[in-house]
Amino acid sequence: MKWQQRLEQYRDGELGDVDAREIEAMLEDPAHQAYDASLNALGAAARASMPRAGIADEQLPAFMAGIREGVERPQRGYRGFWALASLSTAALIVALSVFSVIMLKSQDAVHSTVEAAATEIEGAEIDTYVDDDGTAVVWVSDTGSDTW
Amino acid sequence: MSVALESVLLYEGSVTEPDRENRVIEADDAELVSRARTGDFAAYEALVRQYRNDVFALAYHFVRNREEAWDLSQEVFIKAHRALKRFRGDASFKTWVLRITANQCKDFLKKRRLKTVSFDGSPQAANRPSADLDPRDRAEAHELGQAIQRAVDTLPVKHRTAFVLREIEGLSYQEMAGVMNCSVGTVMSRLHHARRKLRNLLEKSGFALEGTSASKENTS
Repeated sequence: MKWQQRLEQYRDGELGDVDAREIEAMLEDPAHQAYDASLNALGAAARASMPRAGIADEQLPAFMAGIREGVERPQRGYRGFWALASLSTAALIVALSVFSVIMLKSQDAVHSTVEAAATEIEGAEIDTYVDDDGTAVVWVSDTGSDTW
Repeated sequence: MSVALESVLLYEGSVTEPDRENRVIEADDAELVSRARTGDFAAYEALVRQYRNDVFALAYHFVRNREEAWDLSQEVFIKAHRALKRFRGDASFKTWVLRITANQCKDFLKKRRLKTVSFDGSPQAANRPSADLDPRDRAEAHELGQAIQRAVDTLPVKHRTAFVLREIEGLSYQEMAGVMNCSVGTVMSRLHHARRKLRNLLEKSGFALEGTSASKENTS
């Protein structure tokens, strides 16, 4: 394989003058000659069957118009993506919070019962009651200081 | 006056005519790139005008369709314009834009999952045997052309790129290394494998590569 690659380098014009002399000696071998000939044939056949397509001068204005349009088009940057992602996350958090608040509020209230109430204020009275929400209310009134 | 002086200063020691020409082109390109970076679209247009056929030809070799090659080429130049600030100038503008082309084509083929590409038969792409050949030779030449195109299409993208850049576009190994973003040694290896595979495929199809031409072997 090494001699084949050397021949390829030679054919591709990639060897200097010193190396080229070595190659010319190599080409005296019929097998090397055959390989060199096949390289030439392959290249020639490829160039003949794969012609170089191009953009004609008269097509250039249309070509440039497309490029100019693309260049002037605002680019969708990654910054936009991250802003959108942040906004979406924030919205999700708010939605989850509202949802959890609604769910908690709809739970049945725990009813409490006042088992005992006492005060050390002399002459004071204590009353308790539990409202519909289950909230226990205790109030202490000092009837001695009432003015009529 | 100052532009002419810059061009003269690039000529160091003894250089061959092609080297001199390449250096002048590179100096001109550097100036155009510099102006294009500042928003001078006319300068960028000059670069597009200079290299549009190199880009289009390479794209066409992959997709074998003029419309798709046209779109791809425009995308390449749009991308190149956006990336101008990142162009360091260590490779020539041509090598750099061809690298973008090769990458763009690779991505395009991946998306399309093109394993074989049908010959689109458009006038500019057609393998048109010479009218000077007799009908039998013309038919044979047409058949060979189709066989070569089919064979090239079966190559892995890296090998196909190497073969096209060398045999059709005539790039040097150094330029190819720049386009394919690999070492010169890798370029040589890919090229060797591409040629070997193509030779084997053509021989299996009954085409002999000998002398300075390829011909169908008589099987009768």
